[in-house]
Amino acid sequence: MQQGARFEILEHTADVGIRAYGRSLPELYSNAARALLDIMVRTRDVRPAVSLDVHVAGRDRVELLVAWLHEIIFRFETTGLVFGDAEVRRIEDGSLDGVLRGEPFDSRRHVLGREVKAVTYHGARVDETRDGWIAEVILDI
Amino acid sequence: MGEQQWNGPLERLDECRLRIPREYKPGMKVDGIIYADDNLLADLRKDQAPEQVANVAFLPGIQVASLAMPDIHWGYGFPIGGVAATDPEEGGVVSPGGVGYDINCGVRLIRTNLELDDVRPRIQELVGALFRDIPCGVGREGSIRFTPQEEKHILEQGAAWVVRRGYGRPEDLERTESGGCLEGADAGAVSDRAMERGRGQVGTLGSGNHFLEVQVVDEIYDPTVAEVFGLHRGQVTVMIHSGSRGLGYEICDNYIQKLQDVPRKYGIELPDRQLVCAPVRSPEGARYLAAMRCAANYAWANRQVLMHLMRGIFEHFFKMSAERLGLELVYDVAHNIAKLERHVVNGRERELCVHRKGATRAFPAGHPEVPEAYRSVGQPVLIPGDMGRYSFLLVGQPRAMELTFGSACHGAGRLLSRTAAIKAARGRSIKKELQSQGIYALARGRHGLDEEQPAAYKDVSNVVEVVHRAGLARKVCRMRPLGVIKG
Repeated sequence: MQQGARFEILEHTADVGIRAYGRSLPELYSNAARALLDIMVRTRDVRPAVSLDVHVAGRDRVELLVAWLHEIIFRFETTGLVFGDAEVRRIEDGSLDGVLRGEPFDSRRHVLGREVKAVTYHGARVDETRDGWIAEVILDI
Repeated sequence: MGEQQWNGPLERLDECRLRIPREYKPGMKVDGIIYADDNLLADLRKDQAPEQVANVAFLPGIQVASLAMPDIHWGYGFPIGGVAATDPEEGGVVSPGGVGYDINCGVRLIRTNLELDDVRPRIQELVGALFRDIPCGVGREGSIRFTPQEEKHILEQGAAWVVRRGYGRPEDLERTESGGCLEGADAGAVSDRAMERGRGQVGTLGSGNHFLEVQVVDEIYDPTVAEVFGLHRGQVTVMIHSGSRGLGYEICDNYIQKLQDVPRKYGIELPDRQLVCAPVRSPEGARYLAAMRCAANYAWANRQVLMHLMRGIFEHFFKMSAERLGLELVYDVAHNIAKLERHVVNGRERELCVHRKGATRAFPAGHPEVPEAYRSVGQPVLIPGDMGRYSFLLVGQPRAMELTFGSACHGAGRLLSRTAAIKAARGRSIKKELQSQGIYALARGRHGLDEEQPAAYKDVSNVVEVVHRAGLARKVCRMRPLGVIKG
């Protein structure tokens, strides 16, 4: 793992993917979420005025990752909030507790990025490496 | 992400078709057939899309061949441009991946009585008005709110329900594929979360490659058919490209999740997890179809409301009624959908489940599903291109019924990744470049027009040529953009 690198955005012709790193699983899932947010909005403009608690479950690590990222898309589309940061607090027995921080969308201050339709299973992976954890997932844009 | 070179077998069948023999992979039930000429062949091996054509050939009950249109490119499970028909009587399956996330993404074309000179001098103002009043862009909610009960009506009755509520005219429905409503939609098969995601988005364009475009007919290939469709050179048209928004994405997602264990239950072996499927005649398959039809109906209602908003803006702008402006729907087609249709296979007519994943229905003259006004010539087939060049209108041909279950291509397909497009736009103004070609474009979002610039797309005319020469659909006319709004 590169020093300080938390995530990368992978791009091919019609697709956008995420590669995230973490020393622990919660850090890995936090960074994957930050990668997703980075695609959705210019995160530096978003103030952490509101916190939303999120709880999701999955049968394995990949499903849990997909469910967590999917929840962020869902909350963005249904709450009118934009999120500047996400953090995973706990991962245990196939369930995850996290928090999303942001504020109501304001077109004068917030610059939206791409519409993420879905998180796909194609090539999705969560693996342990010598230095920690790595995850990859492809988004449908 | 499927970017490695594909080295499998591609045998040339004729000028327009290539074959992946079923012997290529054990488990393929039929051949793969890709529509491509030598021009398109060069790009074909650049990604794993042909492998996906071979993978789709594994689906139980698949008939004739796993097909791909000339705009084929790599997708999730199914290739974009894929067409697959399965026979429920032979255990045929339905696969959410064969429809995609944007269920009933599609295109509609509206004609006007306006000529180029009526619009060209005022195009900036007109596009400005459309951009202001048509909700577009990421997360933009619609101007019309529906209650949960009303949303259920939309899911089960589609465009017909919104027309009854005053968003358009009954004759619009006659010129919409399937009348803008699929039977067998059951809102009970749709999750609360999908309903919630969809509630505020009826009458919104969305983002990505979705658009509303003011165009002018600049080339007529078949004057007789163009006349039947009410089109002539120099005439202004409007094209709308959108789909089922968050509702469709959520339904697809829900069912890909729900169906994960279903192939094992029915003893179906699949080469890719993203191809999950269920027999059409199983409780799981029936439930997905019931939900998918809800999203399809929602998408037709969405495009209907978008057209209604557009009519209102034109009326206000030109200070003339929509009737006097001649704002009539030419046609509306779906290009991501699964439908039960009757087709002849080996001399016997049967009901098949036809998946069109980035493919357009192209029924010929005489087919009962072609609107009466067009039945003597065939169904209009709408093929959008990029915002700098042109889009095409074709007409369905009998060969499509023989070869592709009544299907043709759906669009251009990307050439550059989004990042590459942004890089290519650095130090340039795409907006100004388009303006110098007489095209006024407005877009929301961080990357504006850069990601969607014309050079990011393949030339759609190459794709259309193959479909035309293969006899699936014939070229009728070409429309050039004058003004574009993008999400």
